[in-house]
Amino acid sequence: MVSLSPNSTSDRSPSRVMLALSNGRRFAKTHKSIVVGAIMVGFVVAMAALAPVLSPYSPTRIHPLDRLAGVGSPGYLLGADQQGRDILSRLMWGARSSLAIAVLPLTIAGILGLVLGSVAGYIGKLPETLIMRSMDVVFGLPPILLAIAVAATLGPGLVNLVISLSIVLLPPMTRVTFQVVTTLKEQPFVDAAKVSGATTPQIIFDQIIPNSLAPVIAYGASLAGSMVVFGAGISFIGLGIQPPQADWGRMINDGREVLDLHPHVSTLPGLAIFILAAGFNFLGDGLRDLLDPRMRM
Amino acid sequence: MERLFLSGGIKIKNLILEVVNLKKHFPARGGNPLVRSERTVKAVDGVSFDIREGEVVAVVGESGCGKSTLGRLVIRLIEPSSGGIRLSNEDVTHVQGEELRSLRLKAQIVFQDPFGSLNPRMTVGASIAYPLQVNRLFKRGDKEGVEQRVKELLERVGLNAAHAKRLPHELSGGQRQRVGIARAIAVNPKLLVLDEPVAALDLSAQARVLNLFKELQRNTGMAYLFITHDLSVAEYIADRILVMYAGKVMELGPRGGVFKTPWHPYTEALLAAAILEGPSSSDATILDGDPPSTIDPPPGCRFNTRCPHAGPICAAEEPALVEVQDGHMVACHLLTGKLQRRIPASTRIPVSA
Ligand SMILES: Nc1ncnc2c1ncn2[C@@H]1O[C@H](COP(=O)(O)OP(=O)(O)OP(=O)(O)O)[C@@H](O)[C@H]1O
Ligand SMILES: [Mg+2]
Repeated sequence: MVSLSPNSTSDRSPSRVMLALSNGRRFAKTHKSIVVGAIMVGFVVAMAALAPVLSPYSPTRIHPLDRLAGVGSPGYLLGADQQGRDILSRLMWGARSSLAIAVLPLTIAGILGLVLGSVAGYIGKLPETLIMRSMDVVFGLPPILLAIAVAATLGPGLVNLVISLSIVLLPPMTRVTFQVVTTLKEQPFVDAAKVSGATTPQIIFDQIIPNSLAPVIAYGASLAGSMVVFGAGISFIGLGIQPPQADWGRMINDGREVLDLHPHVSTLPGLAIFILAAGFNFLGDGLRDLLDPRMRM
Repeated sequence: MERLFLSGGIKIKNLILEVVNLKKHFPARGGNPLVRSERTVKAVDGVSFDIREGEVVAVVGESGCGKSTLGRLVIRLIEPSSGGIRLSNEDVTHVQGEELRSLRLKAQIVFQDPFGSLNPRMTVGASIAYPLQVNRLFKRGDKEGVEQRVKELLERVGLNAAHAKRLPHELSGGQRQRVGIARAIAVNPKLLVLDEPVAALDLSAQARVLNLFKELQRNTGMAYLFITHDLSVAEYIADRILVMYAGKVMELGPRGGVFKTPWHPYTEALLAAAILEGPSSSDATILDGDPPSTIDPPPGCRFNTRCPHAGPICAAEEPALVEVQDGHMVACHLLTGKLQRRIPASTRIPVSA
């Protein structure tokens, strides 16, 4: 045990930089999955961000003469689809909607779920019954049916897809927050806040939510991969992103008819989905281990 | 006045806390969740005492006897099942909402667990400033005023302004407990409930934090309800001692009286065990036998199942708390002459004060 003297000065050693470096190396070693996931996701993010600069053509430029150009043909590094659109350019631009679908619904559902789950978990009683039972009703439906129903009602498009995926994600995000909060509210520091004179909303926003953030983010991150696949699926069946906008799920569908002779048209976007989804899964699992040891398998 | 206070509800100038026949019964834990259990844990079962301005009352007793529950009732973290609590001559037994929040300016608590009682994501400064902010003791936006007050409080508890920016995990146990103390005294309460505030600290930190309590008390004139299972701590800090057993008061009196001439066999046993095992002994091994379950307390005197003097009367009739000397109260049939000591009083273990 170190000195308990109340006036003991800072025990930081001078070589803070060295410490950070060696910590970084140790981090990379013990948290391989975060590093691998971050590289995969980071690659996709870079492609999406640099699309306007790096993509050889506009993603919607139609050039019938070059239709179904193979991988490596001159001017088409990854080939072209039936309409002669450059697949590389479309993949880069399509990364944007895939990332949006992975991140936006989770953020929206995460924020709402954090508030609803905290209110239900901390207050209990009637708010708990109302919130959690209505989540049960939504959660009881198969998510794919729910998403299709919402998309069919609201109509296709990126914005509506984000809304429908947010609805799909709200129950699990609320539930995980609820679980975290029911244990959190037994902590002495919550009693301390109560005794300090804090009101219930103050306790929820100052004490409960900041402390449930890490485990809830970790859980949310582990869902991002499935959202990429899920969103691509919705676009594949035509309820998501609409042509001619570039989207990976849409691109797989485009290549469906020529799958036997020109498999690259479908498989390349499939591979992109795989890279992003797997990257998010690595990242999410690693984050979960890092932030919330309780959920470790 | 509908509740029966000893004071009759009259204002008594230096009376800080008055507790009358206070009870807290919890529904028993466990059992079949489908069948609503009628059984209750009588954690606190008819406790009466008072605390005057600047007085330190120590509550001692074995684990599970209801000490923490009593402390949590007094600051109204939980609501009493029955009985009454008056704080500075105000009935606070069942206050709610705003009234309850205003009570927080008068009575505060320091918890046992210095790790769990600080929000891990708040800096020390933010934790100490929190009661000032939620009670709006400073004008909105008066950051400097709050900062100045936090610095002052940190210094009062033996820390310094630099600690304000730290997070709890960067501090030692003793330092964290000091932060908890600074937070509790931030609103200038008249009564501080201390629930085993040094039990989680190592010995040297214990001594220093105890000294801090003594010094603070001298300087501010706060009254303490000091909960501890360590008799040497109680002897060091308290003016009066309240001995609890299974939710009931066994003996209550001035420190000298209780330690030098304990009347209750339970107090005697506690003192004897403390001498045998040293001051830091775990409370689990003080006495032979287990404390009675507070779910089904034995009829009569709660201590009769373990008392060396117990006679038939003890299992049949519950002894009342009677005054044996000035301010020294004991609940035991030995006093009423209905029971004879098995062991002569002269062989009682002498206790150095
Ligand atoms: N919220 C609750 N629900 C049910 N039973 C409770 C609750 N709080 C306390 N109890 C029970 O009341 C009894 C007294 O508990 P309390 O914590 O007051 O004892 P204590 O004297 O502080 O013990 P320790 O020295 O271990 O802290 C115990 O039997 C405990 O299990
Ligand atoms: Mg306790």
